[in-house]
Amino acid sequence: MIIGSFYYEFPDEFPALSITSIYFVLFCIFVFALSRSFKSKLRPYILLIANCVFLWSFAKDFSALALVLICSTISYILGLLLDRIKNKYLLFISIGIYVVLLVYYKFNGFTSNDNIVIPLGLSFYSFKIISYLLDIYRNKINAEINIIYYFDYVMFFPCITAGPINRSEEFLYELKNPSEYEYKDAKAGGFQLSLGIFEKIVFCDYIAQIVVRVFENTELSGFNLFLGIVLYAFQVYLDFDAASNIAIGGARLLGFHFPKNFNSPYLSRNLKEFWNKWHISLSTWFKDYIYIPLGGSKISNIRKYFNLLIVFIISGLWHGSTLNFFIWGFLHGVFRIIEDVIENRYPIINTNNIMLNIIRTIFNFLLVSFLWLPFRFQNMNEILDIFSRLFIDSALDFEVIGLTINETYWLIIVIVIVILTDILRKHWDMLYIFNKVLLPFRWTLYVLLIVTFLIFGIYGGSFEATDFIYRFF
Amino acid sequence: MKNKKKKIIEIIQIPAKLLLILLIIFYSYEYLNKVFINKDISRGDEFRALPKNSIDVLVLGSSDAQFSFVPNFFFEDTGLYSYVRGTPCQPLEVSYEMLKESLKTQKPKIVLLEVFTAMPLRKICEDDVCYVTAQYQMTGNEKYNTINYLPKEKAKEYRNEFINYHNDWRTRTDYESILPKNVFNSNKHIDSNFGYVYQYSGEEIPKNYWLPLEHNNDIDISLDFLDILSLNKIYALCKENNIELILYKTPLDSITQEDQSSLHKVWEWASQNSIKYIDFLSLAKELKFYMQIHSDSFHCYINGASMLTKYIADFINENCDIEHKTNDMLDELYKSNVGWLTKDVLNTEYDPLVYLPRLENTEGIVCIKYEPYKKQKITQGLYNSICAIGCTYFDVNYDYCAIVRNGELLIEGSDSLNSSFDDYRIIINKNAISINDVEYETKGPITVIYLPSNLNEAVIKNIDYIPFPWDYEKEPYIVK
Repeated sequence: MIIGSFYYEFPDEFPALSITSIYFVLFCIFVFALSRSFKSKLRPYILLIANCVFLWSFAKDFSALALVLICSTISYILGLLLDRIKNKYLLFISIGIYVVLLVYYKFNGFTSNDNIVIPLGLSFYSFKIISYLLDIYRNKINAEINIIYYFDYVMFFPCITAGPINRSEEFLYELKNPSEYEYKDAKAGGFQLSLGIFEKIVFCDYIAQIVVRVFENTELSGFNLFLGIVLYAFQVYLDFDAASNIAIGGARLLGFHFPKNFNSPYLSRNLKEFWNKWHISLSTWFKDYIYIPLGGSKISNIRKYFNLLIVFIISGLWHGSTLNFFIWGFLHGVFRIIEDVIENRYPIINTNNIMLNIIRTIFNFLLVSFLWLPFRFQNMNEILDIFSRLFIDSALDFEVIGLTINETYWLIIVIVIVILTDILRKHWDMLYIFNKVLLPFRWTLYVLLIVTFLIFGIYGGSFEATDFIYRFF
Repeated sequence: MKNKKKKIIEIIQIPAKLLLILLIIFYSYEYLNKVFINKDISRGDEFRALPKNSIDVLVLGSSDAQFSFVPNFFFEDTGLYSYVRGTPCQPLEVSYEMLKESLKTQKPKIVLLEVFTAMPLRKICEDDVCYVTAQYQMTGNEKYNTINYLPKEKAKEYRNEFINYHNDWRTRTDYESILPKNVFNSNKHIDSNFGYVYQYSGEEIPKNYWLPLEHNNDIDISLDFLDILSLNKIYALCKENNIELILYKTPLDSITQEDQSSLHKVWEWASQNSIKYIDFLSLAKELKFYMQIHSDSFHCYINGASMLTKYIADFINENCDIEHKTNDMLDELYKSNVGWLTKDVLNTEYDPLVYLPRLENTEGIVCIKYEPYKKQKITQGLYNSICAIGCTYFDVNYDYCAIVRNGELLIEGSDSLNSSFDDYRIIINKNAISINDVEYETKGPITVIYLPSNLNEAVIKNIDYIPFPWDYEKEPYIVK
C-alpha cells in the first residue's frame, strides 16, 4: 500500500501483538470499537476472544494457548473450592501448583524458547492467580463464579506481558458493572497508551543504544562508565514506566481503571520511599502476600530485618533465577536494613530541609543506579570489572562513547525532559492538567510529539524496538 | 435528548480526531521525507523538468548507456532531442519500469535500449544499484517496483526512505535545508548533458588496445527467463505507445564467450521481432574502436562515446523517419555543451593516429618534439600523421621539433628552438618543452603539447607507446 511517499507492506501472517508495535495499538482500537459496538453484556466475551488472540499471536500455537486456558481453569476451580472449604492444605496445594509452575519455567523454561506462550508474562500471570486464591482464602473476595469473567481477569491482554499486577476485586467489579461509554476515558486511555509507546521508542530505546555502546566497550573507564551506569538506570525506569503506561492506557481505553504503577521513584529520598513508588502493583503484592504474612513491621527489629531480606531475595528471584538477581535482591535488602537502622538512630535526617533532601535524593538515585548493575550482568566478574574500571581516572568524553554532537544534545534534552516531567508528575496529575489546557496548546503538543517521534524514534530498517525488560520476568 | 446529542458528538469525535492525527502523521512524514532525503538534485527531477513530450529519443540501459551516448552530439548530427536514463547495472526489468516512469512526462519516438544486463557479466553488479535508481530517478509505483527487484530483505529496508534515513539527524549539520523554502522549492533544473555521464580518461593512458572477442557458436547460453519477459514487456509497451525500439551494446573488455552467446540470443530475439539492433562489439573493428575504453574495461571515454553516438545518429538518420518539434530553449541547451565536449574528445583521444590528424584542423598552438633515441620505432602511420600537421623537415632518424599555430607551421628545428609570439615564449630543449616558464618533461619518442587558448588548458601527450591496432600491424616500421 502506497500513501504519498510512504509504503506499507502488509505482513504475510498475523503479526505478533508486541506492545511496542503498531499492531498492538490497532488491536486495542479494534477491541475498543468492537466492545463499544455491542451490548455491554457481550463485552466479557469480546474481551476473552481478544485475550486469546493476543496470546496466540506470539507463538501462533493453539496448544500453548490451550495450556494457559487449562491453567486458568484449574485456578478457577481451586478458587471455587477454596471459597467453600477454606482449607489451609488446599490453599498450600493451590498456591504450590503455581509456584512450582513459576519455578519450573524460571529455572528451565526461559533458556529453551522465548516464544512459547506460557513464559510470556508468566510471573505476572502466576502472581495474579496466587493473590486471587489468597484473597479468597482470607475472605477478602468471593470466588468468581463466571468462568468467562475469571478468564478475562487472569488473561487480560494489556497487562499480561509486563504488568501491572491488577487485583481481581476492582477489575471484576468494572467488568460486571460496565460504565457508560465515557469519551474522557477513551481519550485519556488512548493518550496514555500513545505516551507509553513514545516513551519507549523515543526515550528508552535511544538511551538503551548508548548504554549498549558503553557497556560493550571494555576500554571505557571513569566518568564515561559512570555515565553508562546512570543511563542504564534511566533506561530501566523508562522501560518499566513505558510498559505500565501502555498497559494502563490500553486498559482504560477498554473501560478499566488501574492506579499509577510508577510515581517518580527516582525522586525518592531513601530505598523505602523508592520501593513505595517503583512498580507499585508488584511492591504492594510482595508487601501484602509475603511481607505482612511473615509478620510485617509489628515484630522485633531483628525479625523485621530478616523478613525484609527474605522479601527482597524473593523479589530478586522472581525477576530471574540466576545468581545476579539473587544478589540484586539481597543487596537491596541489606541497604534497606542499613537505611532503616540509620534513620531510626538519627531521626533528624528525616527533616524537611530542602538541601538535605536533594542530597539524599541524589545519593539514593546513585545507590539504586549501582544496584541495577547485577540486573544487567549475569556474570559477577563483569560487574567487578566495571567497578575496577570506574575508578580509573578519565574525563567524560561523549565522542569516546560514540556520540556525535547532535546525539549528545539530544541525550541531554531527553534526560532533562524525563527529570522535569517526573518532578511535575510527583506533584500533579499531568494527564488531568493536560486535558484542561486550551485546545490549540494541546494540539500543538500532539504535533510536537508526533514530529519528535518520527525524527527521534528508534525504528526503521531492520530495527525492532527492544523488548520490555519486564517481559522476561 | 441533549445528552444523546452530546454522546453522538463525542462518538464522532473519536474517529474525527484519529483521522486528524493520521493526517498530522502523514503530512509530517511527507515534509520530513523531503527534509531528510532531497538534499541533492535528483536526476529524476532533472528529467521531469524537461518540457512535456519534447524528447524524441530515450536511451535506457546500464552505465554503458550513460557513458556511451552523448545527446548533445546526437543533436548536432540529427537535430533530435534525446535523453539518457541509464543507471548503473540497470536490469532489463528496471529498464521497463524506467520506460513506464519516463512515459509519465515524455512521448519518445525511439527507445534505445542498451543490453549489458542481459549478459552473465551482470553478476558484477551490486544489488543496491536498484535502490539508487529508484531513489534518484523514479516516482510512485515504478519506484516501489524497482526496489522490489532487490532481494526481499534489502527491499524491505529501502522501501520507506524517511524511515531509513530519519536517523540522519545524528550527524547532519545542514540545518538550512530544514527550512521550508528549501524543501518546497521544486527543482526546474535541466541537465545540460541530458543524462550523459562524462568520462575523462584521467591519468590512465590506455597502452593496451582492446580487441573484440569473436563469438564462438559452440557455446550456447540461453537468456534468463526474466530478461526475455522484460524484453517482451518493453517491446509491448513501445508498441502500445508507437515507439520504435532499437537495441544496442557498447564495446567492452572483460567479455567471455558466455556473454557473447547471451548477447547473440538477444539479437536473435530482436530479429524474430523485427527489432533493429546495433552490435558495437562486432562493429568495433570497422569503427576502429580500440582505445576508447576506460581502464575499468567497461566504459567509454568521451571520444569513444562520440564515436558511438555518431554511428547511432547515422543509423537513425538512415533508418528512422521522425517528426521533430523544435524548442528554442532546448536547442540552445543542446548546443551549449558541444564546444567543450568536442574539445575533450580531442584531449582524451589516445590514439595518435586519430589525435595527430585532428590537430591539423584545430585552432590553437601545437608544440611537437621528436627524439628517436628514446624509443626505437615509430610506424608509418605516426610518421604520416606528423607530416600531415605541416612538419616539412621531419625525418624519423633525427631529432626534430616544431611549433604549429592554427594548423600552420610556425617554426621548426632539430633538437631545440626558442620562439616568442603573441603572449607566448616557447623553448624546446632536450627532455623539456617550456611554455611561458612552465616546463613539461618530454618522454618521447614523440611529445605533443596542445594549447587550445590559454596555458591552463594545455594538454601534453607523450606518445611513448606504439599503437598496434590490427590494421597497422601490417605496416612496416620505418626506424629500426
